[in-house]
Amino acid sequence: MRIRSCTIYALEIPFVEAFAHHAKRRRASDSIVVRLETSDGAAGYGEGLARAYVTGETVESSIAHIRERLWPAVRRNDYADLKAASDPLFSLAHVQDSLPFEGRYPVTAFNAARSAIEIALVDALLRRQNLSLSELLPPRRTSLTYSGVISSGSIEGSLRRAKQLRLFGLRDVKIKIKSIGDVERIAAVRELMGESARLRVDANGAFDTRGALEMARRLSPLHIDAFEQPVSRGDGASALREVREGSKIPIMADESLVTAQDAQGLVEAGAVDYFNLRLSKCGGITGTLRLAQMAREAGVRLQLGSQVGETAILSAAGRHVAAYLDDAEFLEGSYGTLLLAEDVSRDPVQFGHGGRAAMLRGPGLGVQVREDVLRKYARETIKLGGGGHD
Amino acid sequence: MSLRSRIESEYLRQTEEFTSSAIFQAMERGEAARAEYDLFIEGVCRSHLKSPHILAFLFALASPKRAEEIKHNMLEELGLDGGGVAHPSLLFELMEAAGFDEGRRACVEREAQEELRRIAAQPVLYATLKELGFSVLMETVAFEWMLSRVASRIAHFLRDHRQLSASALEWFYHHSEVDLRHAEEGLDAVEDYARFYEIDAQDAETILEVTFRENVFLKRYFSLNTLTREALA
Repeated sequence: MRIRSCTIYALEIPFVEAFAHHAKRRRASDSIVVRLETSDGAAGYGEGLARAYVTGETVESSIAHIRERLWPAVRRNDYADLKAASDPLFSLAHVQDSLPFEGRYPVTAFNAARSAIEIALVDALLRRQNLSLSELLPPRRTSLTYSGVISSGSIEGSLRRAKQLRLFGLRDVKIKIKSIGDVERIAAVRELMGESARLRVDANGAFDTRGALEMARRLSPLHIDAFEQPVSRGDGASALREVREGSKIPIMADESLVTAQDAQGLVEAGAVDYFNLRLSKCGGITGTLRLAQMAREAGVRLQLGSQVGETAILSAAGRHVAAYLDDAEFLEGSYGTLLLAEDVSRDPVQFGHGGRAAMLRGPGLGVQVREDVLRKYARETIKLGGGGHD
Repeated sequence: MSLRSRIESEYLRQTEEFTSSAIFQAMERGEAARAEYDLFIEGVCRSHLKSPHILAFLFALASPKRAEEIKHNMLEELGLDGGGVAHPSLLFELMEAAGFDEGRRACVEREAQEELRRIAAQPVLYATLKELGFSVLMETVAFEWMLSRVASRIAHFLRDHRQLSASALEWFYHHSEVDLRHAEEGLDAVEDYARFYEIDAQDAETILEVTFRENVFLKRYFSLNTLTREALA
């Protein structure tokens, strides 16, 4: 099966409220959505979110990579039907192998671009076969529970958000932190949410090793389930290991974990307790499954994270992966219109009360994408192949 | 501050934000393009064509003390209160007078239906229907409250700058006259609802914050959210 056209939408969907963490403050989603169309007319959608402080990609460099490297490779290929196998990595191998895997300074890996193309390919191929992605990734659990998130900011603002999350029945909550001064804010959230809530913190690399150790010490009485990315990626696996050795709180790698080489280095250094896998960061479904496999073999625990501002497309792909990876202890994403002014799917993919979300059973990713919404929020649309300009 | 005062102050804030927005001001001064007036008319019709359905939902959840009033409002919307005209018919007449052809009118109706479908398909974030009903009731009354104060202004600028006749603008005139009473009754209904379902003050405040985190009038009538508007300013 040939792929005849590719449309890239560089979106700008406003948030209903600003979202802040150590590395960035956002007021709109800058998602890249890719639509691929097969030669017999089936369309599939994929998504990636470029993050300079994670993979090194920008929206511009991701789009350039799709245009110059990934799309030409896709167009050259003749894709076979996707077939279920005992190992989904085997089912998806020819999709994965058709895409060049590369990064060049300052980009660690063009994984957001790869995620957008890979997910669109899988969606398109499955749709023309009238198969759900759940056929390739058979759900190993029937119920999924997502976490809420509190962005960095004032105590008052965090408590306001915590009250919302409590009313929505969310018991897993991640709090973005920037400095030692945040301890008071986290204590206030803990008091409001009660002891039964599972709280995690995410520093996005805000601390140096000494600061991270001090933060871990002060957070210890607050029963925090995980301390995500306490130091920056640039500090290396050894800094994470040092924090882990001196902390009673389990340590999680996020920005430090982009490629398989990163995962290997973290495992060898005994640097972390958790991997935070995110589809866009890890290069799509197959990249995420590979890192999950490495984690499992090394006894590293899992979180399946998300991208702030992802639309229903990436959330749907994440839902399938989350259902398959039943050892992922914490799930993030599927915020839908809790964050976006408008989402791109006809039926919402957003979680409901308690963070619970249903499986998606329709063909492909199981979402019906609204082209009118993509057009409305596209600040740039690029058509490749199929009579468009290359 | 009592719940009623808190809600009224939020209605006032939302209404002031709506009427001071650049697009509202431009329409009132006659500086908006014809297409902008038409998009506004579309937004109003899309937002209110299915009002009887929303009132039926609120009737189902109403406190016994207010159920009759909400039923009356619903029947009034449907034109079944004794000689009245169905409000959706008034909205269709407005679109016809504005020159919307059959295809465009049907499209607006489809979008209104689709919005109802989205509401039904959206996973519910609240634990029970009582919280969801409280949110829907507060938003519905917000429109009555705003229209009772602003509908005449809207009718005037549509008459003066979009050259629509008084009969075409009947929906606005009707809401400006009737909704002063509806708005007061609506606030009574919100208070009674919270009392009947024993919604605690902190939860009521949180539901109010979630319901009005965006400007509901700009969102429904212009598909604009607060951050979009800030970005455009």
